[in-house]
Parts: sequence; structure tokens; C-alpha cells
Amino acid sequence: MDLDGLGRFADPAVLILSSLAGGDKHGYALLRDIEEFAGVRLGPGTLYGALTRLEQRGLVQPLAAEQRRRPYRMTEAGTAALREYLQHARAVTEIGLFRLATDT
Amino acid sequence: MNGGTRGRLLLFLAGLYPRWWRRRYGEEFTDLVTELADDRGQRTFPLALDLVAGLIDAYLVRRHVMTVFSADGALRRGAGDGLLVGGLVAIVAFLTNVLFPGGPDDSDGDLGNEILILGMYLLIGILLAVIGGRGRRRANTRNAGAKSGAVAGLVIGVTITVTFLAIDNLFFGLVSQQHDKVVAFASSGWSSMRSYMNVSLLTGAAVLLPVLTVVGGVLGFLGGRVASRGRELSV
Repeated sequence: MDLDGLGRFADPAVLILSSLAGGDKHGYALLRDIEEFAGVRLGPGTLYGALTRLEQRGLVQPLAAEQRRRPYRMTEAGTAALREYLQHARAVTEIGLFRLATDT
Repeated sequence: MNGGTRGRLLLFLAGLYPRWWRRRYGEEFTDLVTELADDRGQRTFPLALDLVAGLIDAYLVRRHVMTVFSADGALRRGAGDGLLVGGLVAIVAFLTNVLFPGGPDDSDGDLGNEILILGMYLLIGILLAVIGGRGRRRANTRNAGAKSGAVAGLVIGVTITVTFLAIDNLFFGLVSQQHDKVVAFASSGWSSMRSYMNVSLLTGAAVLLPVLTVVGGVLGFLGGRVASRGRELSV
């Protein structure tokens, strides 16, 4: 899938895409939103490392800069990649929870 | 660390990012770092550490740009397989043009040669579909077969073009005796046969490369569809 091969940026990439699923955001808004919904505090270096790769893969696109801030938008390919990833994660979660429930 | 010193440290680190990075992300990145420096909830050391990690990554990311290609299993499979098929075509071309050239009256229009050329095209078409299937199995995404086939088609086209450029120029004395080339050159109006052959080849390549890429994409897609029967898409 399109999120393969992102190495240490895989998790931040999923967080960024999940945040952008709620609407276009610039860097600072992304950090705030991710911290709010995931409890993860990304640093600026990690954020832009992941954004660079997402942009290269066509999963996000930069919009016109507003003053010095540039918002990002998730592309259709990004939506599809995130959906696939989350569906897989859900399947794994359900199996894990089921096994935990039947084990006890 | 007071706010001013902290801000200067973080902005100093942001200023160490490579030129291409600053050209692309400079303003928005500096703006973000400034906002984080002003945010009292952020601790200096983790921020600085993250900036340094990002800095190292930014210097390596050029390589990552290249690895977008290598990270895509379908593209990598297509390129590798395309090179293999292109190499086989190159060997056949070398054998038939240099080691075992036809007689002075031998023409591509002869029935035997036409069948051979047609068979070669057919074989390449089948191989492109097979490559698409292999790409689909490798990456297991919807468009993996098309990607593999398209890249393979392009690589095959480039390999064929380079091979014939090399043969035509390195073995010019031999190739320039070929019946079809002599006839075509005679009616071309060109004064230099070498120039005529090279220009004709490159003109042909301008058509061949996009056609092979598109045909490769289509056949690869079909091959990928066949290969994906009964398989779930991976995530």
C-alpha cells in the first residue's frame, strides 16, 4: 500500500492523514490536532519529515500559502491509503480484542 | 532557558536545514518553529532533539526521494523485469545484426523475418502481462500491475534504443550494408548514412517509448487482474 516503506515516519504519516481527514490544516494546527485526538506530541522535524514523504507520494498536497503558513490537504490517494490502513488496523484490533476476551 | 535564547537556538537549528528544504518549506517551517518556541508548554530539549533528527533526515531525504521509487515494490519489480527482458532483446539484436547478420538481400519484409519480428512483439506483450502479474503479487495494490507493466515497457524501450544506437555506431561498417538500411538511405536524401541512421532511430524512439509505456501499462494491468484473482488487497 502507499504507506509502506515510510520507516519511522509511518506512524506520524497516519496521524497527519487522520488529522487532515477532518479538514485542511497548516503545520501548527496539525500538531495541536494530533496532540488532542491522539495524545501524541510530534516535533516540527518529524512533522515535516513525514509531510515531505506524503507529498512525494501524492497523498497530501500543499495549498496556497496564507501569509507564512501553508495549509495541507489530503488527496484522493491519501484518503484511499488511510482508509486501507485503518481498515487493516481495525481488523487486527478486533482479532486481538476477541482473543483477549476468549482467553480470560 | 529564557524565551529569547530558546527561540534563537531553535531558529538557529531550523536555519541549518539544507537549501532545497528551506526553499520549499523555509517560511512555514520557521513560522512553526517560532510558534513552538513561544509555546510555554513545549520543552526545549525534546524540541531541539527533534529538530536535529529532522535536520539529519532532511540531508538524507534526497536519497529518500529516490527511494520513493525503490520503496514501491511494483515499480521496482517492473524496472528489474524490464531490464531483464530488454537485455534479452539486446542479445537477440546483437546476434542477428552483428554475429550472424543476414545476407545482402535479406530484408525485414521477408516472410521469415516478419514472422520472427511478429513473434518477438507477441512475446514482449505476453511478458509485459506476466510482469504486471508479478508486480501485482509483489505490491498487491490495485494499480500495481499497471505500474510494473508501464515501467517495464519504458525500460525495455530504452534498452532497445540504447542497444541499437550502440550496434549502429560501433558496427557501422557491418550494419550499413543491411539491405533495408541501404534502400531507406538511398531514398532519404541524407548525405551521411550514420547521421541518417541515428536520427531515424531517435525519431522512432520518441514514438516507441511512450507507446511501449502505455501498452505495458495496459497489459500489466490486465496481467495484474489475472494474478489478483482470489487475493485480497494488502493494506
